[in-house]
Amino acid sequence: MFSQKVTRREVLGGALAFLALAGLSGCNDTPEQKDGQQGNQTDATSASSSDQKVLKMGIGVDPDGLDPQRTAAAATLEITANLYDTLVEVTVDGDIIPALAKSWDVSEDGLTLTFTLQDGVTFSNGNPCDANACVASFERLLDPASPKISQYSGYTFEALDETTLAVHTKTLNVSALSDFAYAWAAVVDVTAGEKLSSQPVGTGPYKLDVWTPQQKVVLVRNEKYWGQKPDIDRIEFTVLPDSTSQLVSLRKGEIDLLMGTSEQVEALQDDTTFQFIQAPQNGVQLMAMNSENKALADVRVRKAINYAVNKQELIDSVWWGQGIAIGSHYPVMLKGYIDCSNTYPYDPEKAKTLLKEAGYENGLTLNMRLPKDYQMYVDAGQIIADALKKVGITCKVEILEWAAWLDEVYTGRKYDLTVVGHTGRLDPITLLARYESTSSENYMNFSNEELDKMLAQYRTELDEEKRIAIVQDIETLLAQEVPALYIQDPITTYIAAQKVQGFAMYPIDIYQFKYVTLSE
Amino acid sequence: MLKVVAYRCGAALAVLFVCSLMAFCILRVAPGDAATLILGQEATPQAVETMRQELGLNTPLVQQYFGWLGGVLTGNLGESRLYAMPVTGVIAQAFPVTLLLSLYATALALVISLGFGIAAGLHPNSWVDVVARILTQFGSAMPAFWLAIMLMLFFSSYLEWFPVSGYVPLQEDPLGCIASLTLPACALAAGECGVLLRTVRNSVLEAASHDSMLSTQVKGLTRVRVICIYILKGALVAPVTSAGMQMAKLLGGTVAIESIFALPGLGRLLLTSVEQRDLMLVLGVVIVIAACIVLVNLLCDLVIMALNPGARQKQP
Repeated sequence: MFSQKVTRREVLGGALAFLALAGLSGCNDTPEQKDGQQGNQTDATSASSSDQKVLKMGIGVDPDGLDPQRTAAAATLEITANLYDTLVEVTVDGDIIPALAKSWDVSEDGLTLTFTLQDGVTFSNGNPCDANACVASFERLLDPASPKISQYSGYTFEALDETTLAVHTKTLNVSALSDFAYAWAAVVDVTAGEKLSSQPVGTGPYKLDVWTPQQKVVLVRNEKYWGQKPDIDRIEFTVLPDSTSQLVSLRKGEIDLLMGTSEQVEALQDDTTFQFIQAPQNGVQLMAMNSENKALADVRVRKAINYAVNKQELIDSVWWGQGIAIGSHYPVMLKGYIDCSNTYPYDPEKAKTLLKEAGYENGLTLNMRLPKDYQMYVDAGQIIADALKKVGITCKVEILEWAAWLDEVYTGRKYDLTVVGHTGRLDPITLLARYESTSSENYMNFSNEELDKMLAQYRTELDEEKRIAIVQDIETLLAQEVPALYIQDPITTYIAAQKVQGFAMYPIDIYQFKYVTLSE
Repeated sequence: MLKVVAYRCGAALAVLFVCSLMAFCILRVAPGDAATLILGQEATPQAVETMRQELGLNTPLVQQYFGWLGGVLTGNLGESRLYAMPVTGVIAQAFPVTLLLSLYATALALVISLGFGIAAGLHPNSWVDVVARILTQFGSAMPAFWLAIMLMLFFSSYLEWFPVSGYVPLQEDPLGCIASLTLPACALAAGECGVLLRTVRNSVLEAASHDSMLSTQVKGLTRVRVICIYILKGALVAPVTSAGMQMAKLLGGTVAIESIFALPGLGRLLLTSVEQRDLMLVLGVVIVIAACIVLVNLLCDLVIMALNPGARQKQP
């Protein structure tokens, strides 16, 4: 996040060596010591919490409010998923299971979804959460201030009776059910209005205890929760921006859970007091190439760029090998994945030949604009720029703040090359639709008639097998045409104390602490 | 004297006005706005437009700025979009942290640099002087964030004397508060020491070798009396005011140190609010920091004027 991060990473290396030394010399804290210390600290902060089960998690930044319908930040949704419920829930494997809706029906024509809600659910403030409350909540999701308005604008909502909710669509939408599993489709109490951001009111297993900006967000169990009572009484998210202090806090037992960077994982790998919970992120990281640029509009140049970069070496050096190389815009764990990672294997000579064919034997200059807040993307961009230099492509690297990147590169499409990641979706179409030539998210300016046709076909195809076949055709087409240099599906690792049980990673950005237990 | 103070207060207000105007303009000219940031990657251009409308980003700049200024004059700094609470509330949580940290670091730096500086100034080229010079070099050359990490690893992780990170409010647990601020204060004090020590040493050395010292010997005054009354009184004005200036700098927030020790101070708040384009919060923090610096400078000037009558006449 900070400009001195590059140098600090070097410092971190030294720091880790120091830590290792401290560990080797037998001065590592024993579990007894650790417990004693924790006891002291809890005594100091709140005397009554000694018999409570408390989970402490380290987070890098504050959430940007606690209103799931008014955020685009994964860090926020991960927390709000515990304060609010969605109609349906997604499992670790991507299946849809009941949540606030105990069952549902799809009409013959596929245009109406009817949900039957759980009985007697109330919000944490005591207001009833019936079908009318759900309709009001979804209508709030369609408000212009909602970031997800385009995903839900095709739906209309109707309360049939107290516990029955109908969702109508004008055109067939095969991903409709999964749209109601995302954390931003949470049911909120609309009477709480704009205060939701600091005083959340939901039906979830936890409710907000206190949020001290820049310090911590504390959730406590919602005693009015309609479902099974969660095991953990209290969840404390502590804001720790610095990666060394995160590491030291973990080792001292001041936090129990942390989303680890590759360096942190590497540092703690041999420490048996920790467990590592790992899974591919259901995401895609890539270097986008803007087809608006005359050179990049030529598929030979795009292929040359793909040949010029050694993907595995890139993943090893930037992400410490924590990723799975991909060759198309498709995460590894999503249904219908095919491995295209070897379509254009590393071959700089071939890259040079292709560039020559395209008329760039005397070199080519491109600008590369990278988002500063994501150090990994900046590092990756610079390594790619180096590799491209060797085949005769000069990159003018420019590093932008995230807000500026969103504005100029993503929305404004003023760039030649950029490195970024896209987080996962439950349905392939929401992932791939950005390549449609008319899509507002098509920041690569990619246009391919065949692809447009396939996407339209997918949307109305009711047979799942056939849909998957279409998706695989799209994957292959993207792997051939390479509107981007597809890098990897990143592997995320959570570092947890051994007592944390049942913490899992989901295909969308949520934490489900109601399934987590703490063993003594 | 009163006239001078009144003049300086007027100048201070003008400085505050210019600072807020500059912060406002820079933030509005810089690429990237709150609407695109809130709506994220999937926003349609129409949605961004509506959001801009909603956030009041489309009203004329002059109107936006003076609307805010009007609020400030009535004590209302606006609402922070990021934390969904009044800006004054957010700053009220962050300010004490930065203030305590700055006072602590300055006090540490003063104690160390006065101790070593006076000894070194009175005994130039002795072993104390050598140690003092090494300290000066070390303090100025060492990056504060590196020292901070080393201190944390040694004192928190290895010796377990201090908490790793986090802040304990003073009113909750005074000892815990001091413990939570000790390492960050040391890391900051080291840098400040480098400059201060040199100033103290040089002004003591100068005062001690002044011709007038000869007359104190003639008068047969004791060494202690000479040091306390004749040397230090004159020699310490410069270092003490320069400590004040350095403290003003610390009050502006120390992003790296606050981040490493997870202290919820002004520096991190300013960084976050700029990154998140929370305009009201940025303006609020800038005003508070500017006000602190102006205030400390004013106090320093008054101290100089009180100690040195000559300075009073130079003022208009």
